This record gives sequence, structure tokens and C-alpha cells, in this order.
Amino acid sequence: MNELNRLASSRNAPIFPATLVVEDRLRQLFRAWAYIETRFDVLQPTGNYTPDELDRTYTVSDTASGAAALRPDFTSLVAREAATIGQAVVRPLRRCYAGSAFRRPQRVDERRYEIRQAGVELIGACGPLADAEILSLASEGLAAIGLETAQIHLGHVGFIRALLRSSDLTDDVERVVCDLLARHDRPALSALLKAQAISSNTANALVRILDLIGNEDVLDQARRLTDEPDALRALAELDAVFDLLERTDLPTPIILDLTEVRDRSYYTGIRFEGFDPASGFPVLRGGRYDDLLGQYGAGEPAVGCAFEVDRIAASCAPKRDESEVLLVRFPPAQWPEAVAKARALRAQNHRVAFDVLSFAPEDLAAYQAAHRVNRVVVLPSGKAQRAEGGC
Amino acid sequence: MAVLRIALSKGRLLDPTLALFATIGIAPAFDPDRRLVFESTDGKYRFLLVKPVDVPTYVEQGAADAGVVGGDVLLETERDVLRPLDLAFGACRLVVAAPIGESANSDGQLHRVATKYPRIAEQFFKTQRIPVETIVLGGSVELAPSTGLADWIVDLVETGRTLHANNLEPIAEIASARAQLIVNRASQKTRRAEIEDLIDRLGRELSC
Repeated sequence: MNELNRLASSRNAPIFPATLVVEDRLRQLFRAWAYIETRFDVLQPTGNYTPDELDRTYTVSDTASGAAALRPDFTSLVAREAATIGQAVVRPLRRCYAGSAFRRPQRVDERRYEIRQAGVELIGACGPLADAEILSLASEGLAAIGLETAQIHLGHVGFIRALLRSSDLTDDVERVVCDLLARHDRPALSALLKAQAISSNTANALVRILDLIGNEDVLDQARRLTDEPDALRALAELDAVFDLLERTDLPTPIILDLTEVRDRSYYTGIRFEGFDPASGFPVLRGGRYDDLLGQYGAGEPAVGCAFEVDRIAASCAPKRDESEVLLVRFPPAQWPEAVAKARALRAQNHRVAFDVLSFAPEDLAAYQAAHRVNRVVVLPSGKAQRAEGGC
Repeated sequence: MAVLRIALSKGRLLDPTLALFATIGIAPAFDPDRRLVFESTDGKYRFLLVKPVDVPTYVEQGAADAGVVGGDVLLETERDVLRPLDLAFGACRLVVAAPIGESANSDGQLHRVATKYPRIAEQFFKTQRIPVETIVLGGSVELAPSTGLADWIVDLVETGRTLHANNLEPIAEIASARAQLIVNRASQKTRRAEIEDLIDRLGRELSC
């Protein structure tokens, strides 16, 4: 085996791929928070999606069922399910998911087609307590994965929406303003706003958005920038959620952050992202999306978040399961005894494998080293031997 | 505290970039001519020397927290990075150039355009409603018209001397560009104090 093959095989032989470890931990957490996992087919009817959504995913067709699309996300599926069951199930609904979504790359140099996500949706509940539940779960989720230095940045789309609405910019200029805000291009933003027929106060407020990040002082700074009722209402909602979070001992710090202006048409209230120094991308996204369910039936409030499982696994992979494995060795005639022995050991929370190939001693040693077999149980004696000592 | 990783463009922007960093007290600890990675003398910064076109990739993907790159590269690559500071040097223009004496709309035929910037070129000609065939080259684009490979070129021009030496002249300006400081979106959140300190210091120096 040459060096390239050796490196490749060492990279491709994880006993527990990191994505599965992340998903397992999140599933345990979701379950502990009483969220019910929903499984969705990978192939969805194309009629479930708008033309824009279909442009962003892959479609396939067959003569029997017509066209189908690879699911581009989970939230819309949860929302559709909630709308379909109607109000027959008492609200709020707590739903969770884990799996792959598929996106057609938007750039020619992009190679990310499949996105592993795990997330929760709280449907039929509005108000700061519902928002705080999702943010608390998000915080505990990041800690459960082992991201001890992560932080959650929390904002509210109502603030930027109100500022833009009151600024009376044309649609084209508003789009450019948001692009410049999104890339923190303060000099270009200032120059553009100076050339517009808007008050200096409005221009100043739009530029100062980029400073609105930090602790609770951010809310006071933001209030001083505007007297727009909708903007102040958004800040009051954010304040209420932040106050609830501050009164609990969350494992992941919450940073107030009104600098993010993207996704303002999808979210309707709080929005947040999680970051970890080990990843160059957000590891978590979420927020309130009260307008989505109305597209599928009766509108109702909803809030949720998604963990970017593959981003987390790529950059900040948690330790995989290192617990010891027991190997039961037995003469073929002793198969029933081996099964009984393994069952008893598993009942004691051991991980147990059978030596179905009746390894020769040298092969056994290689297997032990490759598969973290710490102990070998030999039948008929039933005597356990440490890995170091061989069999 | 981990070092702040800054991707620098090799080539024409490197010397002015290092000079600017030196003015705010950030000096390389090793000779940048010989190494692709070197740290600042205070050990707080690690510089990565990469091809200009790769700087936005390093920064977008989080292999670098920040970078210095020409505005032309940002226009062409359109990476999802923050652009908080125009560094005011490396000024140049992206132009369409043709053999001297040729008019831009001379014959209405499909023009072949050689360029290192296919995305910018295609976007420009699309907005101008001029049908073109784009030929992507890695360098020495000015040769393309004289060798019959293309009718026009889209390229970066600083003084125009190279164009003139190759019997070319600008017939349209697409954009002007200067060096930019770019920042990874996640680094802006997780290493905000250090990045804002860097932006502030550079900004103060530039406004002097």
C-alpha cells in the first residue's frame, strides 16, 4: 500500500462517521425535549414546490408517477404536515428531523449537493416563551455536540424591515443597501445613502446597524436610532426573549446581533445563527417564520432551528464512541451459547460482536487493533481476556 | 489566543499590502519571498501567500479569517465574504480593449473575447446586449487579438502601457477596482474584537 492509499484508507474508515455521532446526540436531545421525529421521503412531488424552489433542487421523472424533486429542505415538509393534519392535534406541535436535503449548487465552482441537517420545529406557539424554548434547545444542542466555544447570535428581522420601510428608498436602491449591509461594506453604504433623498437620521440609522452587536446595550443603541413603532416593537420582542434567556444558565452564550439583514423575507421575528471558532460557516440557523404555514393551509405561528450537521462534523467533529467492544469467540457448535452470552453482555450495556470467521491468532490481533476490540470472550470457558494479551 | 489568519494576494498587491500592515506595526517575521506561510513578529497574525484568485476561497471557506484581494477578483469570483474596508491601493480598471483603430460596434458580428474574467465579461456584454463568444485564458491575454485568437479582450489595466505595447486600446470601461480587506462571516462573529481592531487600525492609517 503506498502512502496515498494509506492516507485515503485511514480517512475513509471511521467506525462511527462524525455526522452520525452528531445526529445521534441531537436526536437524543430532541427526544428529551419531547420533540417527535418525523421521517420524510427523499423524493417529493414537484407540486409541493414553487418554480424557484425547484430551480434550487434536483428533479427526476418516471413514467408511473411523473416528476419528483429531491427534498431541498425539511422545514417546509414539517409545515406541510402540520397544515395537513389541521387543528385535529392540539397545539403546539413539536417536530424534529435528521437527514439529507439536496441543493443544486448556485455557483459553477460549488460542490455541495447534499446537506445533512437535524432540526426542530415548534408549531402553533407564538410569544417569547416559545422563542426562548427553541433558543435554549439550540444552546443545549451545541453543548451536547461538544462545541464548548460556540456562540449564538440573536437578532430580529422586524428591526431592519421597519427601518427600510420608513426610509422610502426605491426598490432598486433598497436592494443595493441590503447587499452592502450584508457584506459590511460601510464606506460604499455611506456613499450610496448620502446620494439619496433621505434624512441624515435615516441614513445614519442604516449605517449604524453594523454596530448593533454585543450585550443588552445593543437594544438601547438600537432604540436611539429610530422611533418607528414597528422597529421598537421588534426590539421589545427581542428584549423579552433575551431577558428570558439571561435568567437561565445556558451552556452557549447568546450575543445580541442586529447586523444580519439577510433572510429578512423568510423570517418574521427573531432569527439566529450559531458559530464556532473551528468552523468558517454557521453551524446552526433558526428563527420565527409565522408566514410559512399559511402557504399550505391555515396560517399559524412557528419557530425552529436546524443544525448544520455536516459543517459541524467537518470542522468540529465530536469524539466518536470509544467504548470498548467485546468479541465472543466460540466453536461453531457453541453458537446458541455464544448468542446467550452476547445477549447477557449486551444487557449490561456492552457492545458485543461475534467472531464469525474463527480468526487465527494473528488475524485476531489485526482485527482487534482495527476495530477497537478491548476484550475477547472465549467460549466454552467464558473467560474474558484483555486485548493486549491476545486470545 | 489562536493567531488571526490573513490570506494575501501574491503579485502586484503584495508589496503595498505588506507596507500597509507595517505602518500599523504588523510586520512579517520571515522573508515572504521564500515562504508561503509566515507569522507577524508579535505572533498574533499568520499570513498565507496565495494566488489572488484563491484569496476569496480561503476566506469564504474559513481557512483564513481575513484576506487582501483586488476588487476585480471579488467581482469575478463573487464569494460570500464580508468586505468591510477599501484599502485604497492597487487601483485599476477592468476594460474591454480592441486593436487600435477598431470601433466597438463596427460590424455587429459575434465577437470573440479573450479574458481571465469570463463571468464579468459575460455579464457586461449581456447588459450591453452584445453577443460574444468568451475565450478563457490564464494570462498574457493581450496576445489574443494579434494572434487571431480573439477580437477583443477584457482585462485589468493599471497604466495602459501594456495594452498600448500590444497595439490595443480600451474601448469600454466595465468597472474600477482597488484592493479590499475581506473577512470570513463566521470569523467576524467569533473573533470580532480582533477583526474590528484590525479594521480600525487599517482604517485610521488609510484616513491619515
